[in-house]
Amino acid sequence: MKNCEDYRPLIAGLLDGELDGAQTEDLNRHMVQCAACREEYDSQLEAAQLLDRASFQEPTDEALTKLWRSPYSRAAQLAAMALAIGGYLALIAFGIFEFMRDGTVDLWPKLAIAASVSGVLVLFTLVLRERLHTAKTDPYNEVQR
Amino acid sequence: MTEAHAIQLCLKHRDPAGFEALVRQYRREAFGHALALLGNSEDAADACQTCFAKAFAAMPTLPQLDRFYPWFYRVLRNFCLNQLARRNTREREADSVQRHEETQRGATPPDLLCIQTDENQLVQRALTHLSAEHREVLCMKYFQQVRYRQIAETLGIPEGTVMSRLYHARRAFRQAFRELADTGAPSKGDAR
Repeated sequence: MKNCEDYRPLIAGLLDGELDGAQTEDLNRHMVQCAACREEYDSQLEAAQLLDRASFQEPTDEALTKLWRSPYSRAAQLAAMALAIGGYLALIAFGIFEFMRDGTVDLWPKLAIAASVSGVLVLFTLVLRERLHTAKTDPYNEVQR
Repeated sequence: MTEAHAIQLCLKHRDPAGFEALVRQYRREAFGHALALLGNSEDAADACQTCFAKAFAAMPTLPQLDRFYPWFYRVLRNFCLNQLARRNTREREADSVQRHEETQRGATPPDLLCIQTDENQLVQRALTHLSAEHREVLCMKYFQQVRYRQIAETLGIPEGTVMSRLYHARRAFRQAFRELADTGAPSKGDAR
């Protein structure tokens, strides 16, 4: 024998038009006799009407487009950037190499260039080391900036 | 491109064109579901981006996949629930007095789902006070307007459970709505 607790979820189904004929008839027969379930039906109906009237704010197409970008386009961007930077660095290295080999230039300018290039390389190594260390140990890695 | 063809392209060839087609087909739905679970559009967008990337990486490792969205929804749902758990932990650690004062003042809730009108604002605030499970099923039913069968398929539960969950969700919603309308702050009955 079904009791009110068994019938209550069916009220949701009745409101949503999801019950078959037999279930609808069974529930209606019960509600004719049960004031508590009729009250519950009214409560569910009130909630359903409030939710029905609420308006959904659609996301814009622009927002949806941002949800996915093909990883290959990102890979292509990175590759292009690496090629451009690599090319510039190679040109600079070649220029310095040729300058050092040039027998017509005095020793002092060569030493000055060698010192400044060494300084830049040491600074770059220090910054890189610090960045790598921070990336490994940063406790705020997951904080969104 | 059909869904089956797009899935095959992803599974066998890791083809971004296939995945792109699936994303275009389901991104609106995914965003709506993430929004329902997380309660604000910024977090929902982040969740979708992360989960689409995860799904793209994971798909070639799957032996077979008949339908994309029910599988993807499980990935998205788990991610969102983890985010909510983290958020709840952070909130517990935060200054609870300040949040209590904001609630008392009726601070603007996150932009869950609705266009702002007085009643909509109350509906929105009531929804944010429901559990993620209840909010999720109500959003599927009322904002995406899908039948029980589709909700059941997406959530991987029987239709009877959908009906029962909707019943309890509407009860919790009505209670939260009433309390907000009467006092401006609901009790802690249906925790997030």
